[in-house]
Amino acid sequence: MFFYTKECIAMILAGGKGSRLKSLTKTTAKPAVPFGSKYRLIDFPLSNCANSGIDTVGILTQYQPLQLNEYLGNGSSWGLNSSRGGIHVLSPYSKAEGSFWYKGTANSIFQNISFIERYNPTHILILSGDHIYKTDYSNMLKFHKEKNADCTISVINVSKKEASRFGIMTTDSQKKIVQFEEKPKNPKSTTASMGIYIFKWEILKEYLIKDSQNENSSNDFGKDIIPLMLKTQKKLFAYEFNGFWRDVGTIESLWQTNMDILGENPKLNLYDKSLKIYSGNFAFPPTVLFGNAKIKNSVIGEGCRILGEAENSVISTGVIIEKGAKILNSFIMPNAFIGKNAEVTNAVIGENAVIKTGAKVGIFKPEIEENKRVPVKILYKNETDEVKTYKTKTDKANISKNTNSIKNISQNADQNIIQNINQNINRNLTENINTAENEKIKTTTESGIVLNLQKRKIAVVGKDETVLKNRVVLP
Amino acid sequence: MKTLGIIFSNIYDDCLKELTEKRTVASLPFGSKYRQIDFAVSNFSNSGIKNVGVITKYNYGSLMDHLSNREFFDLNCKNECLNIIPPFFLNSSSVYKGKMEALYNALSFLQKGDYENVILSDTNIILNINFKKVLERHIKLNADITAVSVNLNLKSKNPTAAERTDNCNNALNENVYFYINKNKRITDVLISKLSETEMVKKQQKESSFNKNNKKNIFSALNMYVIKRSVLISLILNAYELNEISFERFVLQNGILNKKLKAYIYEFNGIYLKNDNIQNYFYNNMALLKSEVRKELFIKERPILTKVLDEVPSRFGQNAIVENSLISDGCIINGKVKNSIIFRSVTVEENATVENAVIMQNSYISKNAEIYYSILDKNVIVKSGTILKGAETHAVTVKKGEIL
Repeated sequence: MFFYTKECIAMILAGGKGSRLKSLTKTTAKPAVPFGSKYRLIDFPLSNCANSGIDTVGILTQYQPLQLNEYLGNGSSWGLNSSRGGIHVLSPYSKAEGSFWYKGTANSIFQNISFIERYNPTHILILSGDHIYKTDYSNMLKFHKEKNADCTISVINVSKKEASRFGIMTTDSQKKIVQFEEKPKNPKSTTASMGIYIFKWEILKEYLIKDSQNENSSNDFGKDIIPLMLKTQKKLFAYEFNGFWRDVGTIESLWQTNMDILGENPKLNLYDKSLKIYSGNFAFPPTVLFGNAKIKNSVIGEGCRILGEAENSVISTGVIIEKGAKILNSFIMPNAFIGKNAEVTNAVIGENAVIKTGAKVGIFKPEIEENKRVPVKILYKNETDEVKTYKTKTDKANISKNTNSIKNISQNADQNIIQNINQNINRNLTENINTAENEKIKTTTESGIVLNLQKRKIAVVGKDETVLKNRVVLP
Repeated sequence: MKTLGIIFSNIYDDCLKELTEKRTVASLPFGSKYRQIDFAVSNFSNSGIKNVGVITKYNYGSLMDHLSNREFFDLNCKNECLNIIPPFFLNSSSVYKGKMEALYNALSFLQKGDYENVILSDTNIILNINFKKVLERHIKLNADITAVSVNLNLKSKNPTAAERTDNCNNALNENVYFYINKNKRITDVLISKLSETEMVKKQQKESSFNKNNKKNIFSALNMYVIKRSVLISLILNAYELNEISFERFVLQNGILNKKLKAYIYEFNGIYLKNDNIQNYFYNNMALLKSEVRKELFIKERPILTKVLDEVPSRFGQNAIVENSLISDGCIINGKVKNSIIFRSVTVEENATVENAVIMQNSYISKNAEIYYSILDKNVIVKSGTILKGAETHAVTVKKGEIL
């Protein structure tokens, strides 16, 4: 068979479990996690490739690949169904020497050397399947060629606080990397690796083989390959990326990045048509907004039926929001069902999840009625994910900015658990107030509780999960 | 049993003049994200009929663009797929005038392959039908022709029947009515300019004189299953005789004189006839009723359309949206009520859109007000403009106009 020689091909690392996304990735791969109403995470690197003229892409899958493979199809959704390349799903396979899973990022490329060799590329672009950004890789490739680099790492400036989560490097005036540390405790700079690399293929191949022979190696680009290349005097350069880039590895960052597409001038501007993000499209009828629907500052996909209210939220394709339901500051994934009078606040609701009539999900302030000493529901989520409801009595006067405690708890309730809840509330509230004051981001709710907009926790309902009653986290 | 599909894309152009000047009736946008032909193509695709020919006449650029990727319609197979049949000039100096001539143009497509039956479909009657069931009946009865029809004596399944107007006086815009016997075999064919409502009224009048004469009358939905061999011989015959009308030559003449075995298939679902602009407006509005959507947008038989990779729609802080259909790519900051909004429409702050059909890429600036109107694609409504139609006379704004 004949294969066209390519200047640069891309390999997308899409095999990770994404365990920090918890129940959202229980039955699906992280790159197949929905994003921004109609997309999935992998749409971003794939569309970027399509927009950069890279027509040969290998996608390395391992964990729960069914939904991802289905979604990828023959790549036509991204215009990558080329007979001169196109997309290739590369999962681990058994070989004459034995069967091996992909052990690390570098190992997954090492196991596919024969695939890459077929296209005889000069350069190879290594991408992550879970990053949200829009770019044209040809600019980076141009830089890489101009510098005659062995490896070019795409970098972004991060805050000092975040720096210890990334691979941090120091560069000289020519942008040549002089030092690289993976997740340092005391970062020396704020230039962070985005996990996007362009290598000269011949050089990378040499190092992959070297690395595979080292039994102590964790077979990781950041931990092993890059430090080894630096140590052996290879030419590594840092290419500065300007623009919106997010790693959506956690529930909080997934939620926050979804919120970033909202507003008049969104941080992530999907409406800018220069670098279009493509996605798999399904035959959904148009979205219907009924007479009672109230939509404010939200993004809504196709095929939705909306009878309730939504504010500051991202509603994905095929979602049904029933009458009286209220969605606030939330990301609702495709085909979820929000029942009558249900309330969802500060939450991520998984694909096909069902929130039954009247259920509450998310972060709420404790309910306080006008009269003193009225029964108040306090909901506490324990470790086994079961939700228990306790009826207690509380006094409005006792909940204030200063005291932050709930007293006068009904005598019937289990004292130990109530104490527990109290401690939780106390701790969380104080933490929230402190950080909020520090960062000067305040939202004062009716009861005077201050929520920190950036640091608040996000409730999550997993894929295909059903919430019968309530799932509430106290602020 | 293998079946061919034929779609007529240019019939009834004259009746929707303002909207079909630059396009075919088939590519007329309808229902927030579709074009009329999507319903016909999806009916074929969902019924497993993969070899579909679309007969064109003129101005079919937008149609070709719309059907360019057959994958979107799941009709991208190896030996059977969606075909566009361009006009073919033989001895005649002009393009075809009637369906029989159009079919003569498509003879080579019709003669290819080993197909038993052909299904003919128009595009201006919007419905969701499973042709498998129609074919089953057609084959079981060994019929020559099966006409998909609705029983006018039952409670009307046309949700806009009461409001409809009939102001299109086009020769091609004649309605076909059938009378049947006990076995549902067609006994009489009536070609009339009377609308369905008028027909029912007329019949009621007649039957009030003669109680024994109470017959059910059926209205054709312009979808016919015909044995291919029968169709081809009829086409050749019509060419010899210079007959152009399918309705008169095949239905009336063929059924009544030549004794073709013709049956009806009774369709019980909802259908929308876009036979003139006002009805087109009513029919768009009918989509706001959930009972209409329930029968048109069925999960197992989805309506497929061209994928544009538009971004999801964004609603601003001051958006008020009530009882409307909204497609992808819109930016809504103003007030939208009882309207059908197509892809990539912008409604700026303080703008009002009520009871309107706004097609793709139109832009409604600040403080503009639009009531009872149809805005074609790429219309720009400048700030402060007020456009007011009446419920019974919707204003139509042509493609690309600036108001």
